[in-house]
Formats: sequence, structure tokens, C-alpha cells
Amino acid sequence: MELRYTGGVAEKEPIQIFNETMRELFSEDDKVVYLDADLMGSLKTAQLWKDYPKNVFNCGIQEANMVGVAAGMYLNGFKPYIHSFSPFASRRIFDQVFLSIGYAQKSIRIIGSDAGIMATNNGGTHMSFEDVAMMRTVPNACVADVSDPTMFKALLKLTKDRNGVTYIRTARRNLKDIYMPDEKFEIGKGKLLKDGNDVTIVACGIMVATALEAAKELEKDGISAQVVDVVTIKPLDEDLILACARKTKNIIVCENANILGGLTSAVCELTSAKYPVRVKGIGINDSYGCVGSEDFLRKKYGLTIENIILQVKELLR
Amino acid sequence: MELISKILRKNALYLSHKCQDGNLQSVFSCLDVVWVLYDKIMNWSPELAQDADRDFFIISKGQATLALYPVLIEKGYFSMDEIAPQIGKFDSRYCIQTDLTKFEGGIENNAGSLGHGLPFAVGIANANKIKKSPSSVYVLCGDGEFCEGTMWESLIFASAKKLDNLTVIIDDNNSVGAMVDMGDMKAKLSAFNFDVIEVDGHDMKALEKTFKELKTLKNGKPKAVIAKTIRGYGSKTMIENDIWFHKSPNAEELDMLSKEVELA
Repeated sequence: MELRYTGGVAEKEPIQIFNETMRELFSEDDKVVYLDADLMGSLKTAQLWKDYPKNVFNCGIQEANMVGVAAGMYLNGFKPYIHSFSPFASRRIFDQVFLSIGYAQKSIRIIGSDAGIMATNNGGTHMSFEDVAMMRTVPNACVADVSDPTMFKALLKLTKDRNGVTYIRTARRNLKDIYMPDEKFEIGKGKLLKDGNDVTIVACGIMVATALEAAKELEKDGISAQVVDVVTIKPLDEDLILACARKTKNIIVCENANILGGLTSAVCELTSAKYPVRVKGIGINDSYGCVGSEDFLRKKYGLTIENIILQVKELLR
Repeated sequence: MELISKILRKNALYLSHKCQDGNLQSVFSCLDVVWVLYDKIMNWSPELAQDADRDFFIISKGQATLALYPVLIEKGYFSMDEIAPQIGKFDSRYCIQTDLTKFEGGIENNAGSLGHGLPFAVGIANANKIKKSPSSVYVLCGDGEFCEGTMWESLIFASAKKLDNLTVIIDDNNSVGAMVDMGDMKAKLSAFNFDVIEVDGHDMKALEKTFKELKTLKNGKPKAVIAKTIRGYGSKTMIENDIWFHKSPNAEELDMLSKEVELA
């Protein structure tokens, strides 16, 4: 498939994409509402609030109540999107998401921003590594980790009428452009970004671009790696992952989250049952976050091109 | 006690006996409030159960779900013959904490995890405002439930959004007093810019008057009714013994408690 990946910073940041997309959604469907818990500054949505006072609500710093309010608004015909930083959009509101939305057969789209190490200087209290695992356990939930702004826009639009809990975790900035602007996405359909024979690197979120770079380097050493962006961690594109397992027999999973319950677990759950192959996870190994730049944190947790190369070579040895 | 109060209580006792579960003290403290809402106040009937502009009753204090079934039976929505053999059975739709997933209308929310019903009710009221629906939303909360943080988050939101179509009822049966001193709830709610009325939660005439009065106040302020109630009201044994917070009657106790209710 054709990509526009260059390694440079994206033409439009996720923040800008979010604002543009919500405007489009509001004008297409007046039932779409966006609720925020006092983090509108972080998404720069103040102007959006001014322009769409009937669609945008700032609930104040009360994430749990925001979920209950969204449930009530859904009951009366609205289509709520809510936003907070990812730990507050998952861990803090989990009981409300599970019961007031999921179990109660309501629908909501949750945007968890600054996912994983992208919380950078906000440090460990704001650094969600557990959100993927938690949200995966909500029956029928959709869990996505955004790898590129075009995908973010597509997910926001694709899930407008989706039933149940949708959790979209994303960085607010520093994403790379990977996909062409007209790329089509589907829930539960991954993307094979690069073909290869020796190993498959299955990635999500910010690790997709890193995986592409690592695959390029591996070619120089004569290792042919294919790269998959799962797009949605749940539902997982089982056909694609199994096809990759059959072809390369070796899988490296790369994620900006705890590998316990994360994408690594999802891939292992699938392959161990249907086509057992060696799977190695690169992600957070059961630890808490800390303060640092993206660079520093990537090195600390091994989310680097170099570590992917190292782990691939060890796996193939 | 009025005849209907006796009928509702005896049916709650019978259902608790049938499923061998339930929080009867809590049920008896709020039954009169629930009845007045459905009988005198709300724009609700079995035919309107799925009407978009119906009034909503949300039971946030889920442990008192056995107060809801007897009321809906009297209103003709359920029948005792349907519920009694099924209640509490494995995978039954009739649970002692309401479970909306098993119904199409009639039961508006899931209850059980406290601090959920009020935010949900506030969301419904907010949506009704936007839609300019005439619907009113009534939500029954426990006094102890106000220990939950989401309750206060909701009060802030309801007041900021000027939800005068929302009435929060606190079943003030002094269950929280044993844990923490909540202080002056009326002052607290007033400070959150609610119209607040305290009323005897077992005096049906007073309750009716209170709800009707509040309904006329279209002043941009959400409403709160602090219903002063007694745990186990209608049964001397239950009032005096807190074991009935979570106990169901055996056949002998059912007979004895039903007689107490009859004579109350």
C-alpha cells in the first residue's frame, strides 16, 4: 500500500485534527455532543465551544460524573464523545464506563489523550500504561491506539454510531504522517504497511512509525521484516495476524502500554490458540511511569528503533 | 398508615421472601415516596413507558429496588404472578438491584454501584433541556449515597446547567449518621443553588404537595426533596432491629411482619 511516511512530524497535529473533525461531525449530525472535564485547553477546543455551544459541554473536573451525564444524554438520542487525559479517561472512570455505559447498553466514544509515555513531563500520575488492558476487558468495547492523524480522524468518524464503549487513545502532538489523506479504515481491520518474510512487527500507536524505521534498518542487515499497524487492538484483525504468523513464524509486538493485557497479550491470546508462534513483546514491562521527554522515556522503556532491532535479532537467533 | 402503603409493603415482604434477599428496611423507608411519584406526580403510565417525553424515575439507591416492583405492579406494568416465581432465580430478569438490560422500558437504569444514578439522571435532564422536552426527571438517592464523590460532581453540573426539570430526592433515613456526620444537608444543597424542601417522607399528602409545588418553580434551579424517613417504617420489628437492613423473611417471619404492617 502507498504511504506518505517520511519520518518527519505530521502536517497536522492530532489537536488540529480533533477540532476539524468535531466541526464536521457537528454539522453532519446535530446529535453529536462533546463533553470535556476541564481539559479543553489541552485540546484547544475553546473556540469549538464558542462556535457550538449546544454541542460542547465543559463539565468541570469531574470525569466520573461526565460519563454518567453522557449515558443520560445517549438515552435521549445524543451521541457523546468525551475527552480527558488517558488515565482519567480510563482508570478514574472505569466503574462508570463499565456499568453506566457498557452494561447499561449505552454508547460513548472516549478520547484518552497523552497516552502512555506521551504524557512526558506530567510524569507517572498522568502516564497510563494500564488503560489498554482495562478497556479490553469491557465486553464488546473497541480499543484503538492512534498511530497517525489521518487514522485519528477516520476513527472519530467511523465510531459515531458505534454501539457500546469505544476507547481511542492518542498522543496530542508529535505523531508522524503515515497514511495518505484518503486512506480508508475499518474497525477490526489492520494494515500491512510493509511486506517481509523473516519476522512480523505488530505495532500500534506511536510505535508504528518506530517499527517502520526499524524494519528499514533491518533490511540493511539482510533481515526482511513486515510491519503491521493493528489500528484497533480490540477487535483485533485475527485474519491478518494469523496470516503473518503463518508466513514469518516470528512476531515482535510493539506498544506504548503495559504488555500485560495490552496488544502483546492480545496477539498471544490469538496465536497461542490458533497458530502458536514465538511472540516477543516490546512495551512497558509492568512498571509505573515517570517524568521525562519522549526521547528519554523511549530509551527508559525500550521503545526505540535500536531496541526493536536488538529484539528481532535475538528472536531470530 | 394508608391502605396502599400496607399493600405495597406486604408485596415487598412477599417478594423478599420469594427471592430470599433484599434490603427491606431501606425499601420500607422509601416506598411512600416512590408511590406518590408514580401515582400523583409523574407523567408516566405503562402505555407511556417508552414515550420520549415521559417523566423519568431513576432509582440511584439500588438496594431499594424491591420498592419499585410493588409500585409497578400496582400501576399495572408488571404482575405479581409474573414476578414472584421468577424473582432472584438464576439469570432472572427480576433482580434485587434493577437491571435494565433485561427490560424494554419500565426499568430506566441499572442500580447497585452507588453514585451512578444521579449523574445518569442529570444527563437525561440536560438532554431534555436541549430538546425542549417537557419531561421531568426524579431520582431517588440514599442519604449514605452522598458519601460518593460523583453525587457532588452531579450537583455542581445540575446547578450550572440550571436543570429545574430535575428533582433529587434524598431518602433521609439516617443510615449515614452511623458512619459519618454529613452535617446540614439542606444548607449544603441550598449552597449548591438547589430549591430544597424537607418533608415527612411517610406523609403522602405532604409529599404530593411538595412535589407539585416544586414543579411550578421554573426558576432555573434544580430541586431537592429531603424526605425524612424511618428505616423499616410500617413494621415495629424492622424499625427496632437493624438486622433487617439485609435480611429476608422465612415463612413464619413473613406472616408475622405482614400482620405488623396490617396493624400499622
